Amino acid sequence: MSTSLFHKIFYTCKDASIKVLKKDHKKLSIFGKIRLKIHVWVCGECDEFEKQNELINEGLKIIGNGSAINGHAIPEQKKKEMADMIASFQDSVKS
Amino acid sequence: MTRLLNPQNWVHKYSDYLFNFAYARLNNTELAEDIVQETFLAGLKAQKNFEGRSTEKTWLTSILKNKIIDHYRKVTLKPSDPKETTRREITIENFFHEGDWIGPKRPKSSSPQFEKDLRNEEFLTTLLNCLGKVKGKGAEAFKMKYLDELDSEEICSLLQITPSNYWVLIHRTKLQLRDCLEKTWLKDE
Repeated sequence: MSTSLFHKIFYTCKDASIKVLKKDHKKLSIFGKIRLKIHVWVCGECDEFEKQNELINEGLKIIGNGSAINGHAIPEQKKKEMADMIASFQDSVKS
Repeated sequence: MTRLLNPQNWVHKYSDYLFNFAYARLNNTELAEDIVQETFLAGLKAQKNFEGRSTEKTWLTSILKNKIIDHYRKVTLKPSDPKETTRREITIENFFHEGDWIGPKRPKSSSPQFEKDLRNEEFLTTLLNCLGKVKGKGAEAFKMKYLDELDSEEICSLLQITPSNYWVLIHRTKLQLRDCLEKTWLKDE
């Protein structure tokens, strides 16, 4: 099998990694999906790369929801400043 | 059900939630506090537009999201810092030689911890810290895509970038993030 025909059927690790990154943005063609699956099936490193990518994506989704990191709080002084601003705005609207 | 606004309760009920939401995207305490305050002010000014179809929290969050997007846009449209442009950029080319992984760049084994990591606040904090370290124009586009789940066309239009530029920025940022995470979290078993 010629090299070019081989690479038409089987992705290199670089091609597979690019496809892993691209599939977050654009659906791969059926042929592209199959080629990626085959590569990842036989290549431990690219399998790991795909899992890491998925881990990052899922982690970002959790962070994006705003529910995962709740350790931070606004200082009381700043909260008071905000509450005062709201109260004075409401007063100005009433009067 | 029509809902009413109670601005006098906003600080008590939503300020910390909104702050954490903003902090995750901005990675800057002062900026996150200021943007929450701006959100409350914008909410007060727009009270008449609240139709009661969503909850107060959802409504305030959507105002906050728009404020954050405005911030991303300002940052992205600002001329680049020369220090940023001279910094070594990570590209896909750094990882491969003739299509194969370069030895030390090979992904390390992390998969056994996948489920555990996602429930681990320490992992999420590490990821957030790495996200904070990611610099350059791509960082804002990246946050819009992965944290705010905007589609690529919208991001390109908001940040005035072309689709091919968008892809380059996003994939480089993803690689920077992975690189940081691999140094701090993903380790060989």
